[in-house]
Amino acid sequence: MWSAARAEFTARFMPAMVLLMPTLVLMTLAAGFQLALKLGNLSPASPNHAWLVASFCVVGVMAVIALGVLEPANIAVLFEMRKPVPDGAVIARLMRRFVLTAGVTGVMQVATLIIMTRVATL
Amino acid sequence: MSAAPAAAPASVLSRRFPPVAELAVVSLALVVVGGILMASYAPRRPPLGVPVALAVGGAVLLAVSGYLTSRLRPFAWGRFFLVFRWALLAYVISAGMIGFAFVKDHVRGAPLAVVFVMLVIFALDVPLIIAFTVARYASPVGHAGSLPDVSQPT
Repeated sequence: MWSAARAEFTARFMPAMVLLMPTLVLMTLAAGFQLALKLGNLSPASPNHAWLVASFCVVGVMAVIALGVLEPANIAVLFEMRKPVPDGAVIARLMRRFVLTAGVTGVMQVATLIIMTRVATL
Repeated sequence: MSAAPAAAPASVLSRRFPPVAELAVVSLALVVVGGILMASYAPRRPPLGVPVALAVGGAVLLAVSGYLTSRLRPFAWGRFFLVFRWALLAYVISAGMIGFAFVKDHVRGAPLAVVFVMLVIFALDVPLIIAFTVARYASPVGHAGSLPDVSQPT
C-alpha cells in the first residue's frame, strides 16, 4: 500500500497543512461571527438565529474532530516521516483516523451546505 | 525520502496507554459546547450556570489527563515537551485571538471570565493531545527492549 511517492507527498504537504489550516479556520470563523453580529443575524428576533446556532454546532463537532483527532495524527505522522526509516505501520495506524472520521465530517459538510442555503434564502 | 517505510517494531505499536488523549478530547468537547452556548446568546448576556459547569468538567478532565500523563514511565518526555511547548505557543496565540474577539464584542465581567477559563482549558488541551499522540509512538530515550503496558495505574 505504501509508496515512496506517497511518502514524499506527505512529508511536503503536512507541514504546510499544520501551519495553514488552523489559522485559516480561526480567521474564517471569527470573520463569520463578526459578520453575523453586524448584520443582526445573531439576534433572537432574526429568522436566521436558529440556523446560525445550528452552524455553531456543526463548527463545534468539526473543531473537536480536527483539533482532538486529526491534527495530532497529522503531526505524529510528520515526526514519523522525518525519521531515516519511517515506520509504515505507525503511519498506517495514525492515518486510519482520517478514514474513521470521514463519515462524520462528510455529514457535517452536508449540514453546512443545508444551513448556508437556508440562511441565504430566509 | 526514497525508501519505503520499514515494518513496525511490535513494542511501539502494541504498547497500551491510559486514556490521556480520550479524556483531553472530551474536555475539549465540553469547553467547545460551553463556548457555543455562550456564543448563541450574543449579543445578549448569557446565563452562566451551564457554561460554568461545562468549564469545571473540562478542567477536571484536563487535570486527570495531565496527572495520568505525568505518571507514564518510560515515556518519550523529550519529544513530548518539544511538541508541547511549540503547540502551546500556537494555541495560546489562537486562544488570545478568540479572547480578543470576545473583548471587542463588549463581553465584560463574569461572562468574560468564564470565556477566559474556557480558553485556558482549550489552550492546554490541544497541545496535550498533540504532544501525547506524538510521544506515544516515539521510543523513550535510553530505553532498550520491550516497553511495559502502562494502561493501568500503578
